Amino acid sequence: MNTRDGDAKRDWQTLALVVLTLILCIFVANIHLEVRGEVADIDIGMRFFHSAIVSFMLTTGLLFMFTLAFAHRQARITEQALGMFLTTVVAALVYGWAVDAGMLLPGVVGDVWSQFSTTVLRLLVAECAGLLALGICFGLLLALVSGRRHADDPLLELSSEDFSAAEGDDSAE
Amino acid sequence: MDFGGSTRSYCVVGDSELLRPTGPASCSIAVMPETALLVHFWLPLALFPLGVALMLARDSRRKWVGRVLLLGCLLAPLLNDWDIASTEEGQILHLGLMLLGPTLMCAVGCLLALFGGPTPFAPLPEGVRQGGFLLLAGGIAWFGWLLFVDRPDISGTANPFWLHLMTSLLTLLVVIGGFAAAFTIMMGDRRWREALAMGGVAITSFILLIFLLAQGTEQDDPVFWRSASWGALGDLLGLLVGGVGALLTFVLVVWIGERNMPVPEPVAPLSESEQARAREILAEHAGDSGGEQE
Repeated sequence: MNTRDGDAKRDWQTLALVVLTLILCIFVANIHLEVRGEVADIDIGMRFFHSAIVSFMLTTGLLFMFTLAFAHRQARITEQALGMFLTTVVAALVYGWAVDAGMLLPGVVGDVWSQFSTTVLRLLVAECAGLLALGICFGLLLALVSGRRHADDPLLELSSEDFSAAEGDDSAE
Repeated sequence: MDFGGSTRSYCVVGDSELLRPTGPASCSIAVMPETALLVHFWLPLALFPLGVALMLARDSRRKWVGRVLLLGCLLAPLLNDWDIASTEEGQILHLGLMLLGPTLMCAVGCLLALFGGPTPFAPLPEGVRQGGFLLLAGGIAWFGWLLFVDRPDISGTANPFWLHLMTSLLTLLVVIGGFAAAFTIMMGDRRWREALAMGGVAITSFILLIFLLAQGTEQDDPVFWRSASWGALGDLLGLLVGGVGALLTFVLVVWIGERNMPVPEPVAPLSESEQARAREILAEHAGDSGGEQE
């Protein structure tokens, strides 16, 4: 449907708007049902904070490992590896400092390891759910999209020409 | 905390952990020896990405190291004498095993439906496509069975991560399904059927999520579903923000490294011996025709 210049940008903006609206709908549904008040103890802000820092730490650690695994003699990866390693260490220090400062997940033992391990396990579950959702949606979409039958390309039905005549013409010229 | 009709018992740990249903026998979670957990769960989990990265490397020796590492990571949890219900790590493994069946069913169904269609690459016989869709529907029905009838539990102890997984899954299905529906309408060429299917996934997931938050299931009170959903929203947003932040940091680090890299020094001209060697190689490959052209 991209018929004019700038349509792609407008389409992506609309798609982003759709996603934001859906997220908003889910939040509104949750908040509306939360009004009944039984679950005020689930501190969503603290869950977000812990997940964000631990997710950052794990992703930078992952990138550090990938940097090491793909290193070779010609690659200059010192800055990249050192940068990722230091970022991971800084994130870990900040996380430890935050837990020591009393920014704790509700309902979890207050030591750093318990807080960290619980957050990692919850993130693992969330990532697993993400992979499942991506697989179901895009697997189904791909299966449906690839099911459309098209008329055969008319070029495929053309028989090949006898090129000897053409070669004869070329030599005559 | 007793919720009347619930078939499982729950206890509140501390003053707020609503996400931790436990068995009737005990409300405390036993702690395994720390070293066993580290060796059989956390170390393999930490080394797993390194194994994947080494397997993707071009060097054959690294590939082998990666394979051995991955195999070790997969076997390590099995070598431990787990009391699965007693630790959160064991409960995660239990949940993973419970999900293996329906996930594989959905994955195989998608593949069969995809390659059973009119695809130019490795097509399967035509009837396989319908079977693929049936398998996919069967996998989703299996998830439904687990959700409403046979909730994952370990000898009567409900797996606390199940609620977290389902609320995260439904939330993400709403977002991804809605995105896919809008994408197919805007970018596709008369893809109304596909958009309808994706919209159906999103709307069904949303209705199911609302139902769980409002009514719960036979085994789980809606309070637990609401707690799980509220917490899962925080986790998912944190995951997104933290992951994107880490990727941006990576880009920044690479950019700084590239910017500070010195300009390569000019290469010294070839010495006499190198020139002679180059002539030899040229003569060897160009042969007589090369000589004639000169």
